[in-house]
Amino acid sequence: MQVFKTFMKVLRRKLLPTLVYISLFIAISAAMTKYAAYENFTEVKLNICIFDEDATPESGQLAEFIGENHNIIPPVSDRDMLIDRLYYEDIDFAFIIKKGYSEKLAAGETDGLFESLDVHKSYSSSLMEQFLNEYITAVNSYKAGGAPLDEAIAMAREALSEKTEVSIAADENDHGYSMDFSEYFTYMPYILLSVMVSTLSPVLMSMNRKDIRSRTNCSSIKNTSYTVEIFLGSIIFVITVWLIFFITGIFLCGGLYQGRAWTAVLNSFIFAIISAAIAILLSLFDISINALNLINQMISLGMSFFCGIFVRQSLLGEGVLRAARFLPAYWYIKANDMLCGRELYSASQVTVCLLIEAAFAAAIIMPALLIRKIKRSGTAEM
Amino acid sequence: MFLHDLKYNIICIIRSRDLIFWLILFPIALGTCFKVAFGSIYKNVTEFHTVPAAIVETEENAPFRSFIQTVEDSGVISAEYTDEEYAVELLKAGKVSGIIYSGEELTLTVSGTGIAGSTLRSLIDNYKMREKMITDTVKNAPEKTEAVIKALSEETSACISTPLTKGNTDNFTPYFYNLIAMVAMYGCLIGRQTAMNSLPNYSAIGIRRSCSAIRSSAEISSGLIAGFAAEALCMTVCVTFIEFVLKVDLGGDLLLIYLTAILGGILGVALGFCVCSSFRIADGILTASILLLCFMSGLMINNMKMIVAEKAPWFNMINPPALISDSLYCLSIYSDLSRYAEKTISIAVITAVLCIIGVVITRRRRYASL
Repeated sequence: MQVFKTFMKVLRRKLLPTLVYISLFIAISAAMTKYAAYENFTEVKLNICIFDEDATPESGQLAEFIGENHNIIPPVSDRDMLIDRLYYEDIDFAFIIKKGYSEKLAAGETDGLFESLDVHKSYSSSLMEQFLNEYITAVNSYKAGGAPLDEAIAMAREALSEKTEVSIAADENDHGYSMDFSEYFTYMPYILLSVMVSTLSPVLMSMNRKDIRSRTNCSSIKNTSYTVEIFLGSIIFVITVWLIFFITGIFLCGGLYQGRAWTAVLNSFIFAIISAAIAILLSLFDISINALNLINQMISLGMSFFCGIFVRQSLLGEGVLRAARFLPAYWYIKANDMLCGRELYSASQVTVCLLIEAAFAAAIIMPALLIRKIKRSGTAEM
Repeated sequence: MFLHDLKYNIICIIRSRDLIFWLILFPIALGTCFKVAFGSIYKNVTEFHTVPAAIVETEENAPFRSFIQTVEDSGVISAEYTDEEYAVELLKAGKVSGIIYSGEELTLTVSGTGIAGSTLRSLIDNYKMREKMITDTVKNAPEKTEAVIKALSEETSACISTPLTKGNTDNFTPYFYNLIAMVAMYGCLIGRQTAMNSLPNYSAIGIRRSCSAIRSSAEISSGLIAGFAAEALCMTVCVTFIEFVLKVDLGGDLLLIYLTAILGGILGVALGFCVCSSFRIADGILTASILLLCFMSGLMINNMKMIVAEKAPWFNMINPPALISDSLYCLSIYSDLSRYAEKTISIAVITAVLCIIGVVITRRRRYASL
């Protein structure tokens, strides 16, 4: 097992990137992954900034009512700061209760009572404008029904406070693989690719260096046992990395995987093999470590952005997704999205995705073996 | 001699493959990824679009149908009347934001908490409020019913909208500002090379140069000017690629965008020169520090700038990538250029200070042995 021991010795020296990637990934996942089994519907709470120019009890009552359902942000006096906070959606909606609001309301005027300060024409601003219109309509209607202004405001508040019962679609979390927990597996391909290429490739490149290869060739070690020992070393590394993620997932999940989560585990294992295959293929080319880092960044970041790891597939353009079909991460994410219920689940389609991933692994390993054989025969001739 | 040295410094930088990768190829690749990922998110996610909803009628409810028709006409929702099985499929596939069950009781089913679900709930609440109001009036003061119905059916425009900016409001564009800032900060690698090549205790080239006849001031200034020129070229390529190839609207005057990017690049070179003249820093640590500064300016998390502004506002004023990305942001968002001028002057002053510190550290060094 001389080759195996040497492989492990070289691996130990090149483990730093793996440790950095794994610890960062686990730390971020632990902070971000939630494993709540079931979520009740909660009304979205917006950050609202109100500039009360009217400063009357009526305008105060409106601000107080808004504050019951949303977070009220103190008025931002600096206009630039207000634009910044609206731009970055730190404040969702800002509006002015214009001077003369209470008088106009008492007179039954409904138009132009507020001024919204917009940066984006967003869902938040649409929701709030809809709310303000409805509030004014309610107050005006109660007034038309004969109620004095104070009473009309109180009745409008009461009427608008009644909320419809909302349920979350069943089956979202009862298959054992919640959307929140699926985030852990969503980001895994990026880390697996980065770890394999940044660690396994340099180790294999060191072992395959021309002078070392030539020395090994003229030793008494058989070629078959050399290949088997290198293969064994690589397999142990891949499985160890994958097992670390597997075990961390159990902790993050809050118990042993259940239901569809097992399929997600299988999905991640197949992708670990794909990543290792890519790392093996790259190690066969005569490239410097800097060039390898470059290729690593290109492949891992490229696949992550194009295939839906960093941004959901549903948000990517049709053309991008059509091109991404030729990359294994696309099928990984597609299967993961179906498993967690983000896409319509179909057991047969998930199986197809897994098979396509396996085919990708085979398609990468085949040329790798071919190149290796060609290179070995070349070295032997020397 | 100065021109000769300048020429060879430029050739050295151009032939450095690492620098070409980090300053030209990597930003092109990352910019393309950003474009692919963030290109349509603003339009799809932030900007308001009609909320799609499936309506399952368990019982005939003509008033609600009429209410939905009115809301549809106003462009708030688009409704599809269907059976429950298909509605659930649509919801799971993300084709609708919620299912409204219309019958004796109105109920809503959504796939999760979100603003679209809240919008649908708000619509049903409004309908229920109107229904209750009319029923109560009919019961308590039937003579007022007509007036109440009239008030309820009046179109209300209580809110007038005032846009605060005419600039590019796509809040994913700062990723590109930060990408430009990152390339500018990678200028540190050029500054580092300049410092290493002029210090004999850092490199063999430094030893050779210190033995040569060229004056130290000419040698350092030629190195810095070559670095500035190379970095300016890289910044120009980066901005041109983002603006014209990726067709990202960076907003603001294009000439000022180029000027800001080039100034930022010069700041990057000066920072690398100053820091590496003072300390022997490995490439990896320098790159990691650059990425950390870029992280603080929002390269990885869009609203990081706001988080820093809240917790440590002073840091945004001295963090070079934050200054560069903020200048570009000001150009795009504010019609008044005073805040942009303030940021640009800060960049220029910091650059000058860093260059002076670097030159003071590197000049007139004496070595007992090399």
